[in-house]
Amino acid sequence: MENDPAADPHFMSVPIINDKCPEKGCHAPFGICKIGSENWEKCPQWLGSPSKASGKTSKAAEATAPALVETPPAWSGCALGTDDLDMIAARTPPHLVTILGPHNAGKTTLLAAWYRLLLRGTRLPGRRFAGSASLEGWESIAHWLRWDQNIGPTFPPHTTMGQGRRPGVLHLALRREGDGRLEDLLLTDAPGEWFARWAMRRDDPGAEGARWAVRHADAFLFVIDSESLTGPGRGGPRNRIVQLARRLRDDVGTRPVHLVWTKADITVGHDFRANLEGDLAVHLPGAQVWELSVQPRQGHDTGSDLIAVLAASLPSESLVDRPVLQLAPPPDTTDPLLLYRGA
Amino acid sequence: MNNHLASLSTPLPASVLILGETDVAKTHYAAQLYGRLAKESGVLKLRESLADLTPFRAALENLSNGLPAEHSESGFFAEAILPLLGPHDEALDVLWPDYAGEQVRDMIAHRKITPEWRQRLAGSRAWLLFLRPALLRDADDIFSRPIEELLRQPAEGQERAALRWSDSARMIELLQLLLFARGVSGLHPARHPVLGVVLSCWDELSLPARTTPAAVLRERAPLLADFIESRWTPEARFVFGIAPVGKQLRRDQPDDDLIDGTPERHGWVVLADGEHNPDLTLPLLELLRRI
Repeated sequence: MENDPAADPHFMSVPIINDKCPEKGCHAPFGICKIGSENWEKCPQWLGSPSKASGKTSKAAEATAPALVETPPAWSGCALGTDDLDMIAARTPPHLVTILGPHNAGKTTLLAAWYRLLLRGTRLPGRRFAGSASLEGWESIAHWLRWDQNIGPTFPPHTTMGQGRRPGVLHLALRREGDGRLEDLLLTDAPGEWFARWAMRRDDPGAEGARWAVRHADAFLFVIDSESLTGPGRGGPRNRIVQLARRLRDDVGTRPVHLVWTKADITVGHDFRANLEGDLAVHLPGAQVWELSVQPRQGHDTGSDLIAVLAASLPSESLVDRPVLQLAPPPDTTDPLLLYRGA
Repeated sequence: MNNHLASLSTPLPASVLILGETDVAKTHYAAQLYGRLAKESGVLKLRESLADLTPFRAALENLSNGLPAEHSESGFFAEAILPLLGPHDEALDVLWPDYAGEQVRDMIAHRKITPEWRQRLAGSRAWLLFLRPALLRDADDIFSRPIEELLRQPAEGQERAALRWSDSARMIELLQLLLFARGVSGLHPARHPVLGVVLSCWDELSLPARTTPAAVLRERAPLLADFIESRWTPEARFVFGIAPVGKQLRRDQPDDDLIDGTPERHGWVVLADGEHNPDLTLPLLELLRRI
């Protein structure tokens, strides 16, 4: 066998044990304890074996061996809350993309569509999927874009501030194909009401989530619902979009902003749109403009258009300019904190 | 002292952890593997007879009678040490655990690693993950079935089926849980434990000749394929295909061809280059080469 794993700095496991349990038919420590001890190190047969007859070793093992308990992972699988982000930030400086926009603009549908594309094998340029701490969060919204036996795809349920789907942050770990570094991408899934409140009143108590998302973002996707800008009621949504852009202007600094017109299969009146674009250009100059639709459109590949927006919000350079961490093997433990090695 | 030093120099058994849910042909493969080892028709051979054939008994009996092996009972767990001899006469011991696939499904659903599983993980140097490509199909979505008009809400009287994870996501979460419990860092592609992916029941796929297992995995579960390639170095992973019996078996109709030809002459492996080979020990050999 080549390459002693113990010499590999990335090989982490319990210390190699050369002894074998003397109990006939028992394969501990390589298999489970035949007698049924949950912790083979505390099994009387193991402790009574000749190599441990000194008693000192047995007592030391007994005193230090952790009780084997069920090991919960360090993540829930659901959309991450702010407390959960420490786990991600401990291994890399994550890249946060804040997706903001009015209610029903299509923010969650964007997220669901991106995940469906990744599931189907679409890749972000120069990157390969390397895991997620929020797979259940992704699955719960992407579920709505599937054809199931009963009905066709629908929009995901509204992201609410109250009951129902909870807002959070969705996570993607990506391996860069060039230098092999790991990148952690975070995408907000927040209700439009947060941003509406923040746009109206900067310090609104109900807009803390919006303030957090804006404060910590590395890039912004400003989602504009084309459908809301048609019909006799289009004036109100336009005003709210401009208010939000104005509010964002005060905090954006030099961070990139992408204006994403969703439901672009629906035509917005030419003059109306030109005026709105003019207002947005004043508040968010330099913002890149995209048009997206989940409906097929002539001359467009829906999947390519969607992925291009997500790719544009990623950092072009490696997130870190520091040496990659080299971690020592973990101790023998069931403690999720100590077990977490950036898994 | 000398005896103690001698025991320290004894090579550690290479423990292979078998992973897979129900209906992925793990039991068929275990029984057929034993048949190859006992007949010495593969590259790997048994150094000595197995002390206890109990874990394989039921499956061997059924296959000999042309019937499918039964599922392992949910709570049943047995292990067998396979004392193997490599192609260069090297002595290798492989611990082959047998358990019901429901345990893996429950691990994903409840997101907890039991003490028994943690023990297995701690001692394992290689993982052999069984997937059945025919069952690895995600539902159509808005990209595979273009729609004229996206429904805003379900029609009256219709309800969307309960959330069911995609197969790729379930397997990814399983591997994430196991890597975490084993303490493998995600910062770098892992060199250990070695991961072998076995795409089972290849015979039911009806694929063109020389189709490679890696291509099938990428086509059926691309996100899972990307995850594996991101998390393991190229030296520490491979994908094989397998048809342990080479045909579908029916519980109500014994297969005379299997009975008369004996199970040991049935079944084949699909190597990384798409070549078919009757030596069912090759996936294990590939694991052991990479450990």
